[in-house]
Parts: sequence; structure tokens; C-alpha cells
Amino acid sequence: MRSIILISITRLMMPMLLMVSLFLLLRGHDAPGGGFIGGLMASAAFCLYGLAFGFQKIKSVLHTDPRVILGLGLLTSLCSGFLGYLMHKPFLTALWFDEGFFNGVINLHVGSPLLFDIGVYLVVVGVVTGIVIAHAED
Amino acid sequence: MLITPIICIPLFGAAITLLFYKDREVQQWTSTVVIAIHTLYTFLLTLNVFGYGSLVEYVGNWDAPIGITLIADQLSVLMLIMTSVVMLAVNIYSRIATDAKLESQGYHSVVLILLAGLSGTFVTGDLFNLYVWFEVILMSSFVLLSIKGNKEQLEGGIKYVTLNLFASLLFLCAAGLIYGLLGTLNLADLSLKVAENISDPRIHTFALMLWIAFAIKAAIFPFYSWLPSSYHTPPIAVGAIFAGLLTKVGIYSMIRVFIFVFNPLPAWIYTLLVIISIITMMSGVLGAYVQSDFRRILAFSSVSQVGFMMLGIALQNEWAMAATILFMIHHGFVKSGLFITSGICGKSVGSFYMNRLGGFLDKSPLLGILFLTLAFSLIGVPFTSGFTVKIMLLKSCIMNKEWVAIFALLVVSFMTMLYMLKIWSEVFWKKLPLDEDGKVSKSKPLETGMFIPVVIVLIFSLMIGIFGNVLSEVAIDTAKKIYDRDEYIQKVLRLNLKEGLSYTGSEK
Amino acid sequence: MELLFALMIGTLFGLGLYMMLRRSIVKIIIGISLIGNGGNLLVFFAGNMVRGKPPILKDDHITNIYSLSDPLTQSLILTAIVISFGVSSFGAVLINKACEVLNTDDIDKLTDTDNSC
Repeated sequence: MRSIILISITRLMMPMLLMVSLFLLLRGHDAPGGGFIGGLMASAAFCLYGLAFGFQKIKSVLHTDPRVILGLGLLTSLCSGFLGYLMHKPFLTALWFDEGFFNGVINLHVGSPLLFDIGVYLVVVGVVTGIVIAHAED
Repeated sequence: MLITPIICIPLFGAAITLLFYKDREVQQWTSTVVIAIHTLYTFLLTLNVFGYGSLVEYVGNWDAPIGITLIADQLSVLMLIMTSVVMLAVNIYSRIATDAKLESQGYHSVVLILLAGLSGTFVTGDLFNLYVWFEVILMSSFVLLSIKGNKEQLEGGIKYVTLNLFASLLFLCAAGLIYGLLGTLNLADLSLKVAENISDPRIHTFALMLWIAFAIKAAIFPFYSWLPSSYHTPPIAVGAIFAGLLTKVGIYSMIRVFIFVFNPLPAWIYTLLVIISIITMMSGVLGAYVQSDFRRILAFSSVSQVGFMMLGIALQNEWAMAATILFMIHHGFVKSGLFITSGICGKSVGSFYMNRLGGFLDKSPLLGILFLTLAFSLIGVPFTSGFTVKIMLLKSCIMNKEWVAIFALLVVSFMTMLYMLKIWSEVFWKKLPLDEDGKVSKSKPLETGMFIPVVIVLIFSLMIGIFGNVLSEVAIDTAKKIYDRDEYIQKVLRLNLKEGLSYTGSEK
Repeated sequence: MELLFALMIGTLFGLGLYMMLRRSIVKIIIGISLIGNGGNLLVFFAGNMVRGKPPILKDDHITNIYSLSDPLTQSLILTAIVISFGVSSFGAVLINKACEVLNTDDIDKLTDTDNSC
């Protein structure tokens, strides 16, 4: 049931979808976007891949089990929370590079919320691909 | 002292178990170590709270009415102790009892996420955050309930999912409407604003919406049907967690939101609640008596015990509230211990039906003694935890002159004895029955390691009985702080209520 | 606008309840997600609704904060949507498994857990 059209379209679309998902991830915080939407977009890309090549192949594209991605995402999000402790501020305090400690050193509006968003992104990718693979196993 | 680690430690453990999803040993050890650290941290937190007063933490450095506030007061830490001890006991049980298939499906990760959800529920000071933690608990309990995917589990799972999802939707709608009316979701701020317009019928409606949402979670009379049809289906380790902890979440939220924030509502509501709690007690106990499955008796018994807790909430005095708080802790220990006992018996024979079980007193007198003590505790025999809490509840009933409730309480306690006696005579006294071919049915030997978790919860439960005097005073102090909201509000909003401000304490 | 929203929410709740009271498992999950959407709209409606004024303060000249849309309700439904996404994907898996194992779609036939012996 492999469709040559779907396969060629998928080859074209996969990188684009992943790129858009990264764009959405980085755009987040003050503009529409963020980890959840980006993660959904990325997992849509993987689902498309699964449709074209078979769902068990998703694992080989991810190079690992979805559960590992889920775990890594959880760790990343937790780390962004713990950064607050390091600066003697409450858990999950937003820390920015262009404010406070690093002010003037790096002029980029990047900070711990981005780290949190990356964690969310990974969690969403892990959960959705995990569910899809489990669903398709039967 | 920080509060967030109480949530982060289990989440961290969940992440580690997910990373090592293939390695069963690593998963087992991670979850044991993480739960042990969680227990230790909980005890430290408890010492801190009882020594220096409740702790407040503003997550993300957002100030009180705007951001999410975490607060560990006496009620929270008491619930946290119960949670972590029960979790520890169940973890020790599951090390021996659960099979590899269950663990390969991520049992440990989900249990740790459930622990994070429970801890979050008990320390949050924000209505919407409470909803989020409810959903975390809900999602992980869905997964745990249907993790094996056999026929019974899926049926029980569907019933559980449908009713509990409806409850959370009701909770969400109520939270949204309350925000629309009062413009805040912080519990301390909310209780100030509710106190200003407590006679507004809209507020009564929202309070009752929240009550229904919590009542579905806690399995109270018209809404309890999901509990008996789902609690006996999952593996015993899961069943013990559910029976010990999940219904308490509903009761806890009722105290925290329905009593702490929306108080006092019109008197007829509390009268109605007394009637509902009496019906809950009676129907649970009658349901338990006709069952013939060990676990189903315990599930129905949970319903009747929830009725006792609800009665304490409905009576609206400090003794009753203190009784409810201690009752939650007592029931958490006792019921999870009983579930683990049922698991030990069921695993040995391979069935949970009374007519297939038998002869356990000959097989292991120690198990018999453990079960009997737990059963006495559930009934309320002196020197056990059940006695302490029931005597407190009786006293508050007498103080409120609720004669029907007293009658119901005594009758239900008597009936509790009847169904526990039924288990005792069928499972422990009776000889092991012959199977269909007339041969003596085979039963596996008991593993002594499985007794350890029962002993742990039993020790904690007996401590409530023996140190009942001290603990009841602690509980009354906690209950006073729930009715007299000033300390909580001052801590959270960092304001001094005595100077200015229209709010003048709880008017009762 | 308010009336429209109220009617919309009411319709969603009514349809959802109707679906939930049907006997098919699939329809129950559809009903729950309909009510979920109704609930989300209700929460959204609880904040003040303003068109085209996102609550991002770049300059501090705005005096009346009620002229901006309420950010809190939006973040609340965002959370609620994420949760309902998770729940409905789990529900789909559960239904799939259940229909396979139980071989039925009729909840009246789910009586295995209610027998007393």
C-alpha cells in the first residue's frame, strides 16, 4: 500500500515541517508559537513519515524510543526550573541573558523560558509519537 | 525551606525511569530511592512547618494573587506524610509482586508522575493549579488502571474515565466562572473576596458545582458508582495506591476549597450534606456486605468510609473537621494495608473470590494477626487509629446534636465489623476449599517480604491510635486554622489584616 | 456577541450531554470532547473579550487595563486545551483497545465489573 506520491511528498515535506516547528519553538514567548505548538508540528511531521513508510520506521528516524525523548524533555524542563535556585530566586523564575547577571555580555533575548519550551517540545514529540506508535502496533 | 522539591523529586525520578525504559533493575531502584527521598523530604518539611509555621513559595517569582503560589501548611504536610508513606509501602510491595510485563509498560514512571500530581495537589494555593494537578493525577491513574489491557480493566477504565472526565470538566467550568465573577484564582485572595459577597447566590452555585466535581472524585453517594467497578480491576499495587490515596484527594480539595474558601454557605446546604454522607455510609456498607470478592468488599468499604469523612466536613465544627483530617490519614494507611493483604492472599491462591480462598490462618498466623489488626482499625476498636477518629466524630456529632448521624455512625461501624468478619471467617478461618475435581487446590507459599509494607502502614496506623491524644490536638489545631483563615491569608498575600482592610476574620 | 457566545456554549453542552447519554462508547468520548470545548469557551468568555488588543505592554502608556484582552483566561484555556488533547488521545487509544478486547461498542453490555460473584 506504499504510495509513491506520498513518499515523495513526505521526503519534501519532512524537513520543511521540522523547520517550521523549530521556527515556532523559537518564536514563542511574546509572539504566537512555543513549545507545545512546535512539538505538535514536529510530531505531525513524524506521523506523516509513519504514514508513508510504516509507523515502526518512526523509531529509526528518531534514533531512539519516544520514551527517551519524553524523559529528556522532562529533565530539560526541570533544569530550567532549577536555574532559578542557582540565582537564589524561586523555582521557574524567568532568567534572561540580556538582563541581570549577563547584562551587556550577550545581547540576545534568550533565557530559561526557552529552555522550558524546548523541554515541552521534546515532551510533546515523545508523547505524540509514542501514542501513535503504540496505536499502530495492533 | 523550599516546597517545590516535593513535586520535582518524583518528576525527576520519572524522567530517569523513562530514560532507562529497558532496564528493569534501574527502574525499580530509581523509584524506591526517589520515593524514599520524597518521604524524607516530607518529614523534614513537616518538622519545619510545625516548628516555624507554614511555608509559602511563589513559583516563577510572580507575586501572590497573580502567579501560582505553593503553600505548605499543617493540613498539606499531614496529607503529604500519608501519601509518601503509602507510596513507600506500595513500592516495597511492588518490588516483589509486580511482573516484568507491567514494569516494561512504564509502571514506575507513571507511579512517580502520580506521586508528583498528588504532592502538587496538596501544596498548591491556586484553584486552577489544583485543576491541573487533578488532571495529572487523572491521566496517570487512567494509564495505571488500564495498563494490562484485559477485559475487566478496560471496562472499569471506561467507567472511571467517563465519570472522572465529567468531574474535571465541571471543575474547569466552575473555576472559569469564579474567575469571571471575582477576578482571582488564588485561594487566599478568593476567600477574601468570597467573604465580601458570601450572600450572592451565584457564589453558592459555583461552590456547589465545585462540590459536585470533588464529590465525584471522592466517590460520594450519587456519584460513587465508578469506584466499585474500577478499583478491583487493576494490579494490587495500583489498587492499593488508588484506595489509599485517590479518594482522599477529593476530600482534601473539599476541605481546601469548599470549606476554606466558600464558608459559610446557607445552612440547608450543610444539612443536605449530612444526609448525603449518611446515605453514602449506608450504601457503601450494604454494598460491601453482599460482595464475595475480597477486593470488591474493600472497594465498597472505601465508599462507606468516605461517608464518614464527608460527615466530618458537613458538621461544620472544629472537632468534626479534625476528625475528618485524621480519618483521611487513618483510612489511607489502613485501606492500602488491607489491599496489600488481599494481594498477598490472592497471589497465593490465584483468585480473589471468597469461595476459592481459605486457610490463611494455618498458613501464616502472622498474616492473620496483621489483617485482624487492620480490620480492628477499620472497625474502630480501642487502641487502633479507627477508635481515635470515630470517637472524635461521635463527639462532634453530639456537640451538634445530630442524633440521626450518631445512630448511622454506630450502625455503620457495626456493619463494618460484619463484613470484616465475613472476610476473616472466609479467608482466614475456613480451610482451603477443594477445587472442582475434589482435590485440595494448590496454593503458592507466601513471601515474607510482602509483609513488610503491611507492617509499615500498620505501625503508622497504630501510632494514630496510641498517640491519639497528641494527634487529635494537632488535628484540632489544623482544623482551627482552616476555619480561621487569617494566618493562611496573611502568609500568602503578605499583608497585615489587623491594620485596615475590610476583611474581619471568619464570621460564624 | 455575548448572546452568541452564550448560545454557542449552551449548544455545545447540550450536544455533548446528548452524545454522552448514548449507548456507544465512541459517542461518549465525542460527547466529552464537545463538552470540553464548551467548557473552554466558557472560561474564555469569563475574561473580558476585546478584539485585537493583545496584553503585551511594550510601552507603559496604557492607563486602562480593561481595554486589553485578559491574558489569564487565555492561558487557562491553553492549559485546558493541552489537557483535553492528552485526554482525548488517551480516550482514543482506550476505545480502540476496548472495542478490540470486548468486541462490543454498547455500554449496556459492559457488566463484567458489576457482577457480585
